[in-house]
Amino acid sequence: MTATRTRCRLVAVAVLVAAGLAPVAHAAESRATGWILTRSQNVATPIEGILSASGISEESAVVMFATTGSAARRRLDYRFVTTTAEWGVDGWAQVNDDRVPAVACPAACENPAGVERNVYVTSNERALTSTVYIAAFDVRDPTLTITSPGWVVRRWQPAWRTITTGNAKGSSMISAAHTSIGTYRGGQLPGGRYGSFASSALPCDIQGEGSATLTGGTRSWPMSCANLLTKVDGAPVRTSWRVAGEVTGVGWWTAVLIVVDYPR
Amino acid sequence: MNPSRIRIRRRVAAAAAVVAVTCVGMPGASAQDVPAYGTITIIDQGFGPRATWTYDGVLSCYFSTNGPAGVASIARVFCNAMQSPVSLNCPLMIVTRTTLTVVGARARCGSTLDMGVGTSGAASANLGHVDVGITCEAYVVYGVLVAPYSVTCNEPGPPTFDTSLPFVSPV
Repeated sequence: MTATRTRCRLVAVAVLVAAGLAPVAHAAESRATGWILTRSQNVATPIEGILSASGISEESAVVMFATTGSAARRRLDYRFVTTTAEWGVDGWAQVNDDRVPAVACPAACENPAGVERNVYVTSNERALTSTVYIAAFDVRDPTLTITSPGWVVRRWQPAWRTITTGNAKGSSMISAAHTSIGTYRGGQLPGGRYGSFASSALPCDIQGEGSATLTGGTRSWPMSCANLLTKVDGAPVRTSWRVAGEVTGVGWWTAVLIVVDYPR
Repeated sequence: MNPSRIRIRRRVAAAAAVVAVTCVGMPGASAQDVPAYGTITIIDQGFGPRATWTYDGVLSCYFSTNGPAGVASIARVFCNAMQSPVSLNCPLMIVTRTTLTVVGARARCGSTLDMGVGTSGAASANLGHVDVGITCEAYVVYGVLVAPYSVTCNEPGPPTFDTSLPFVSPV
């Protein structure tokens, strides 16, 4: 009897889904957007441009980098101005502490949106032989203008993963107005199949102490509030990016670990 | 005092300084250090902060900006020296800022030269051995970076002493 009922339910659900009437889970619309810039001719070419976009959440950010080589020989090209820019906006305080139950934000507590920023895309007149990647997260109305000749722009849907001061597991932080205070204890994110770019920051750029180590890329990078607050690195193959350590302080970084997968 | 004695004393002082720098070295520097000759500039003319540097091929540099609530309060260039084949120092880091309002400026090699937040000006110091890298920052602690401004961190190498004083022969 029970088996018959189950079969009937399955058939009913299948019919409803087929008719488009049943609720089905959709993948959340991606919050990341991006561009891939390649040279139109096989000659080294400088790049110059600007990305304008409006921030729409506390995690609004842009990373841009360039790579040379392919497959396991893919390397970051620092002749391009590798950049991480965050300009998130958050009007409401968030508490990240395992001892404090998470409170759902009511629909009314939306973040102020529409703060526009310009971020330069540039190699500072250095001729590049690399491919440039620009990835943006939680931005509205992004406009990319490349003013230097010799570059072809195409859209890209980057895979963007992030650890923030608001969701870092094991950390104890309070964030408001894109400013965080408390203790950050690192975290871990996977990289993509074809490699990935990582941008790590310690949330103690205003004040604080402590240290952490970024691993997963070309080598292990010691970071500290005293002398190395931010670090970028790339991995040409699948990896696991990890920040291990503990820092306590006040900082403006919300996205403390950003990982963007390389496309194939 | 006799003018010739003053000249002799000046020569002795200059020679002593040269000997001190040559034999003892700059504070915080190791014997193998070479100056991290180069310049980092952070500038915003009203269209957003941008950065330039002259360390290509020597150091891997990158740029980052962030700040509270949608505005930039720090623009930072970090040039990584951990993979540099040569040991570097900053014997005469010169930090220069120009602004119509106020901006903070600081540079770090082994120690930090922080001009604080203020109007246009310059400062210099021996920042010693470069431990992990060279940092140059434009910042405002409680406020927003307001364009136009520029911050330049320039390492020209060790200070030179004028040893070309006229030789006075006791004829």
